[in-house]
Amino acid sequence: MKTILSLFSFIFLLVSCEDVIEIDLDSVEPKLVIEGCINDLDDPCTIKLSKTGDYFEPGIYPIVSDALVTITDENGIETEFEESEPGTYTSESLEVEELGSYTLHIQSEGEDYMAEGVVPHKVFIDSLSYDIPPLFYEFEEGYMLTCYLQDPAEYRNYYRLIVYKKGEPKSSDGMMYIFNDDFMNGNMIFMSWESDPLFPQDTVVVELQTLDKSTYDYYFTLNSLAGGMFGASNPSNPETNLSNDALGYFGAYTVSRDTIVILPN
Amino acid sequence: MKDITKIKVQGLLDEKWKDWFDGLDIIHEGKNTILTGNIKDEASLHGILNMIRDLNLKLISVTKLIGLLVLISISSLVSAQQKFTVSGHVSCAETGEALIGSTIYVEELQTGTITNLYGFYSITLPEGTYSLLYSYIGYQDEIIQVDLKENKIFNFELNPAPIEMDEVVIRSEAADKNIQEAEMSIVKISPKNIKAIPVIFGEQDIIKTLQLLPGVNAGSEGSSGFYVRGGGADQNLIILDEAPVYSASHLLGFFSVFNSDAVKDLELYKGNAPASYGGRLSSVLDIQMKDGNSKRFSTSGGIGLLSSRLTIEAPIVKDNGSFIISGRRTYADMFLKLSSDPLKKNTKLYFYDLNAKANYKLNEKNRIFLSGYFGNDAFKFDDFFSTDWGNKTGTLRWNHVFGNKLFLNSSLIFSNYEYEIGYNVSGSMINISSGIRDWNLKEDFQYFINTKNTLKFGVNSIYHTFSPGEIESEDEDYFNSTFLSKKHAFESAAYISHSVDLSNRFKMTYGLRYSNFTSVGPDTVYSYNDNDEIIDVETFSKGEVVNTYGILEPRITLNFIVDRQSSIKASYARNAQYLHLLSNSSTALPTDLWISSSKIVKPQIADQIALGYFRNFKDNMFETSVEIYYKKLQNQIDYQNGAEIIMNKKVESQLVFGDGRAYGTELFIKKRTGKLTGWVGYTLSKTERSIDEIDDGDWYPAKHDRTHDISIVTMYQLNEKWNLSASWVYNTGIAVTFPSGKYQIEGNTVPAYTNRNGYRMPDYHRLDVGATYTIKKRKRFESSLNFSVYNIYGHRNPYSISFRENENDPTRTEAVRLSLFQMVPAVTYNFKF
Repeated sequence: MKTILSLFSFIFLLVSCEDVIEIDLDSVEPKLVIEGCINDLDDPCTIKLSKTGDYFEPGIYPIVSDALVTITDENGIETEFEESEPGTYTSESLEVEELGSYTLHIQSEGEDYMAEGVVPHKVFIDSLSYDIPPLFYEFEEGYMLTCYLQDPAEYRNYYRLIVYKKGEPKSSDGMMYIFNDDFMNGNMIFMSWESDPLFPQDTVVVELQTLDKSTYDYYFTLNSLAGGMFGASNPSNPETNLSNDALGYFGAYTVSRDTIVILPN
Repeated sequence: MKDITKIKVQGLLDEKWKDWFDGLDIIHEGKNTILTGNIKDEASLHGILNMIRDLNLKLISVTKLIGLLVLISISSLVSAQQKFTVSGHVSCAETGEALIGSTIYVEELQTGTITNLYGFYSITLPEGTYSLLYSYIGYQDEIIQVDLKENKIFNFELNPAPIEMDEVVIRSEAADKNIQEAEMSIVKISPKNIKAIPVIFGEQDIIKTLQLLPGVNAGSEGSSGFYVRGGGADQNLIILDEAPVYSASHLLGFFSVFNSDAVKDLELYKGNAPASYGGRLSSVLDIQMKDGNSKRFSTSGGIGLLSSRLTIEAPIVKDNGSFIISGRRTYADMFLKLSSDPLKKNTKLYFYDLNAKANYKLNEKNRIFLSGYFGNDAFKFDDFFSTDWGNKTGTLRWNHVFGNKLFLNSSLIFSNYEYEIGYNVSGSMINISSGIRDWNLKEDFQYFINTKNTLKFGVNSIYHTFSPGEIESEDEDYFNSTFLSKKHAFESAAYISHSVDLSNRFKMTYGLRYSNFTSVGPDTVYSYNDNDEIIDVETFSKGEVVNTYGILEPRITLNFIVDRQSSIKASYARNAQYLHLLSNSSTALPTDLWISSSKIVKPQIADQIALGYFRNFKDNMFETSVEIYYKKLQNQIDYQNGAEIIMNKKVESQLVFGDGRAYGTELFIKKRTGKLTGWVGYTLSKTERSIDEIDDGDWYPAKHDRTHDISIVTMYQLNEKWNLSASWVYNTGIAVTFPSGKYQIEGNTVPAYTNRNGYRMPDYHRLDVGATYTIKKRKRFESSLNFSVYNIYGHRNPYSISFRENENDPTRTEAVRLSLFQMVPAVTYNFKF
């Protein structure tokens, strides 16, 4: 769908013009924003709490301290998260198991928030390759990376691809690279990273995440409802598994990581 | 009996006759005389009527201000004479085209009839001598004297009125049709009357003209979509020669599929169409194609910046049959071919339309028509992406006249809409296709009982085949081919509609339509739980009934004629809609999907009441009207957040349902004659939806809700060579959802939304101007140049407003306006010979 839209937009470029305008937007009551993910990596799990700000206020997102954050696994074992820095809650001890189900519980400013996540079946990167991109891609020089994976036919799978150069921060484009196996169930699936070109000598880290459905739905609706050139017909807040009208999401995923070094040909 | 009786006779009767008529008052009304007062009993009435006959006075009417029974007994008494019927067709003397809605007026009786969609009329009168006046707007009147002693057939040809510069006075009884007819909320347009109105790219477009009328809103900038009285774009029934057209736009909606060269007439009913129409909630747009010139070979066409048109018409057998072929194609992609960039060179971007029609008169009682429309859009971006979509319709019609009062039109109609999108996914092609196909059989009777009563009745059944989607993949190892099974349904209806003149002042059309929608197998029906997961699967074998709906749709329109210049009208109509268009974008995309009613998706229902006051001024030079309406809508469809429509077998689980309401008032002032013509339209309206899943069921403004909508259209005949025109539109911005807050997820700024459609786009306005220069005008050859500028003062109307992080300072967010079309000039050359 996105492709259709962006290609049609080509027609528009002939006659359209863009400019920044002033618009009056209402001021909103700040809402709690929860950004939390658990995965099967050994890294500590973190949950970040903040609040919304008015749309045209420059970058002020009040952090939320002194909340009670716990995650309970399906056996009833509760892990309490500690506020390691203001607004960020961490646990070193939470063990995240494949196919395990976890419940997040947050108490903040007298309100309770809940969410549930199930860690999906793990799918591994099969192989990586890089190639010269086709003509119409966003970049003309450098290489485009492709990640292959063997999709298991017995599960409905949701994936996310993240590619970054070693030593550099992850690109925020990563939310765009989500896909499912709806029409590719059981196939060897490949997905290309079209955001940044890669050049000889680059060491590239590729992260394949297998997401649970609610996390996928969150990313998917975030992408499709956030707007774009034609505008979504009815923009709205992304689908979330959080209760009590909180924004953000609680995600669960597995990670398969691989590295590749781009060689000059 | 203390009732007052009014007897109207032709001619002026002197006061001194008072005693001869039982002391009735004698009043003169124009050239007629009215005898009025209390008549003791039937016997004395009989005496008076005998006296009238003996004096050789022509009786026009007898009205008694009591119940109908008496009235009927009187009229049967009066008209003991035999009755005969005059019938026939009215057509244009130059081209042989049937003239739709021309008036046949009986001067002696001050009554008349109008021709139907095929130019046929039938009028039944008592034996006698009459002057029949045939008239049609833009044509010279013709009068014939008839000594009616037997049934007669008169086929009449009217000559177009010569247009004289100083006085474009076309005297016609039809001029006050808006007052006389028992129909309201209707718009009639003939393409030749709107040629001068400036349009974008110089592409004359009937739908863009409709958008300039009150109660009709345009879609987004430049779009040929339209919204009638708060209804959705899919709630308009668009029929071309009886065949429904599913996708009425080309090229993202910038052009409508109707090539105005091939269009003869159109009518738009804003929600209270007669019972013969049905299937959509908010309007019926009935478009009739030209029949083709049955007198001689003729050609017309135009060359524009974006497209060219050519129309050929000719007789098959002179005066007995003709055909027309009309084509149009855009050629924007031809310019791309000149590009040195291989990508652009291999880009296709065009659409075409082809209209074809043939008619043949077998004899006085039988005519057949065959018409077809083929339209296609193609867009191909090298080998990476392609789309292809279009409509095909075909209609075979047979007009038959039983006796001379009963007219039957039988239609066999085919309609097909389909699209195909090709993607290149990593080297191999994937084709997605979807569509809808109809076979439709219609029998429409029209029974011209007498000058006061006309009956319409008929049946119709459509067999729909929906193809929700199919994916064909070249490389099955990577992408699986998928096929969503076809769905089938019968949409049937039976109707009856009676138009009756209860008195000279009170006219009524009322009717009832029964519609039925039955889905048949083979089919697989899913039931869902609250999480949209399938909980039950039911399968149906071929021909088995899956589900069925039946709805009674009553319709009524009343017209009370206050005087010759003004009338008050009221109407009520119920409409049901069984097909629903799913569209997930604000732009008209070919991928919008038609789905049928099912167990989950209930038929949409609208009830509309409307009230109007119509008044003409200065001998019908000015037409004015005020209408108010209230519409209640049931089972309206919206989407869950992030709904997936394309290739989703669970598409029904993505929908949410609720109610709608729309109300408003429409003002209209039109100047019909003179050097300066045009109109001013103003609509004040509100359109809202309430859906449980959206904002807790609170009423929210529908996207196309426009509080104010103003259109001013003017055309000025400067001299024989130059015709100038201008139109100005203004409307309240559409209702949109803007973010109120923002937050961050993974370092991205994410907008936080509050209420659905809680904000407004800035108000929309623009001025278009045009000028037509007639180069040559002879009897056989005509050519002109049309110049126009769209949005001449270059107002930046937002097509969309999006929100993003500032490029230099990601902590700041800004609103970005995308605007299209500022000052778009165009020139078109038109010819006709």
